[in-house]
Amino acid sequence: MEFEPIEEEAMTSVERVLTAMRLKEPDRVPVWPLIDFLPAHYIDVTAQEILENPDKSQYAYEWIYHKLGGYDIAMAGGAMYMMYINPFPDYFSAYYVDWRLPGRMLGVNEPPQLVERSLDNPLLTENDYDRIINEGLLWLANFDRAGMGDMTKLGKIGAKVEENTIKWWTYYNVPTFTDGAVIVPFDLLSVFRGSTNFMKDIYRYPDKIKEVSDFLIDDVILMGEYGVSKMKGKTLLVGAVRGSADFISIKHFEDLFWPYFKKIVTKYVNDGFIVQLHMDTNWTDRLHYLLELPKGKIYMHMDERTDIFKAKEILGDHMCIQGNMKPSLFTLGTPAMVEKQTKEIIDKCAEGGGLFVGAEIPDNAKLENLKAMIDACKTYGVYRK
Amino acid sequence: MSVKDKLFESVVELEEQKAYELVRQLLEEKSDPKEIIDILRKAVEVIGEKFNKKEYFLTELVMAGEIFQQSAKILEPALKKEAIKEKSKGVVVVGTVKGDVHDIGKNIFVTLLQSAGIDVYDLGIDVPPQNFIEKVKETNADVIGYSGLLTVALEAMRETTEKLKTEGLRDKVKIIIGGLPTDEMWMKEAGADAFTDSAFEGVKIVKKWLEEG
Repeated sequence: MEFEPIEEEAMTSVERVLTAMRLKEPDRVPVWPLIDFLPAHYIDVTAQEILENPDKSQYAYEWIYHKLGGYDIAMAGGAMYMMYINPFPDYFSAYYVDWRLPGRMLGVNEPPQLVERSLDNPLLTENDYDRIINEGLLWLANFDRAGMGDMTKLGKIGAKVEENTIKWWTYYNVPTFTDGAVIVPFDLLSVFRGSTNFMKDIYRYPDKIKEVSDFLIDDVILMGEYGVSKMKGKTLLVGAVRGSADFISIKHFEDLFWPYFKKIVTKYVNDGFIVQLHMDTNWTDRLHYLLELPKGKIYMHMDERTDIFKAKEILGDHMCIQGNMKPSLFTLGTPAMVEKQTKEIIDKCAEGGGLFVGAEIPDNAKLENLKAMIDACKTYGVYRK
Repeated sequence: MSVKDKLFESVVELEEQKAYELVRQLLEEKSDPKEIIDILRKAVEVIGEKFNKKEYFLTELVMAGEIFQQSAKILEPALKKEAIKEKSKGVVVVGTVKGDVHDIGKNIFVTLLQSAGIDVYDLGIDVPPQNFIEKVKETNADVIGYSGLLTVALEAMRETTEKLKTEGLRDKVKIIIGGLPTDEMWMKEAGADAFTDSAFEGVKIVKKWLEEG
């Protein structure tokens, strides 16, 4: 099917995003609705197909891109499969973590959900820290959720994802969202142990957590690079949740989280990747640590719990920032409400570049609300005519 | 410093093993187990205040809950022997609503409610509306807590409230919703009476409701 052409602007999305990331002013503020399973609510494609069928998935993402008149970062069809059916002991890997996926223990249109088994029967027990140091992590694999069939599909789908990634970058001139993703050992262990158990471990066995993190850090770095090498991608996501002020003190952050986060990000920047820090929950009181990371090479996604105005104040001359729009606004709010919040972020954070506007979009968001954010960036967010 | 003061201090400082030793010591010295529970409860309250002032974080709340629960286990035989049955301060039914499986905040909320002497029925995760209704009928609950993180959880919250109305139960209970993204918009949409993004604040609201009767 043919799509309506996207209206041409002074810069392509690739130019715009890279300019903003280098802390210069592009033609206008880049806008990024992080869309994963939303098209399943609007067209004849299921969430399961978005996950497992790279052609239908690419069609769904191209459809929503055109439906909304174009935006600046897109998802490659099939990329989600690579993320969840990842053979490495990683946060997103259904081989390791108890992910319920659409069509597997969930309805075909339900988005993936993580079951932490936090209190009873955790994936890792407190005695397993030593086992990791002795045996690594492969013994944790569970082939009931993802198995040999998936392994065989991985190669085929990987080739398609590569094609789709290249199409976004060269045909549409739009950067892809993420071609590989990792989280710090701290977050990985928290998921494996279950967050409640892990918070007790922070008090009971802090030295073990450090020892295991030291043991895992180089492997974690390699796991992220697998994704990009497979898809010929350029962008890497380093995710962080459990090291924030919603979970731990600054002391624990400094001891158990930050040194490893810094090591991963610095290595990826030095290796030439575009690095997205995907930082969910509230990081406001520890934003200044990010000044220790390389300048002008990274963009930081934050959700509505981190204060973006504070982030601009602290990181404005150092790192491109993104996010902070409240996801539920896109489902429950009105276009006027979305426009107002978009303009406020532009007013306070756009000066000098270094800003993308965006949010993670709920799957049941209203399209007119998405359009309101995108249009505000295209008109109100213009730096120069 | 008296042993009781030491116990109070060790709990506030989250010195877990020391706290258990002191609980045992107080029991051996024939202290009133009810009084020991009250010391623990006060210490958890102080930890909550520190959390509010951002001196403590979620990890510290979890440890506080753990120390309280483990200490209560140590005290259990003595409490039984003395035939001390505390009068329940109220009944709360809690669950992560249908379609959502996030439970970190909910689990902490449950522990903190228990440490405040409130009876809690935790229905777990992915809880269909009907399970809430049945539990409310069975326990004559005063308060319902819906937990959820995903925007899709809202639909399940709204559905559960509608069912409560149909069953004529809505006016008999207060409803609080909890989760990081909850706000006034969520609260109205879910037909609830309060919202919170903090387990500690949630317990405060519930306590206030129960005191008001």
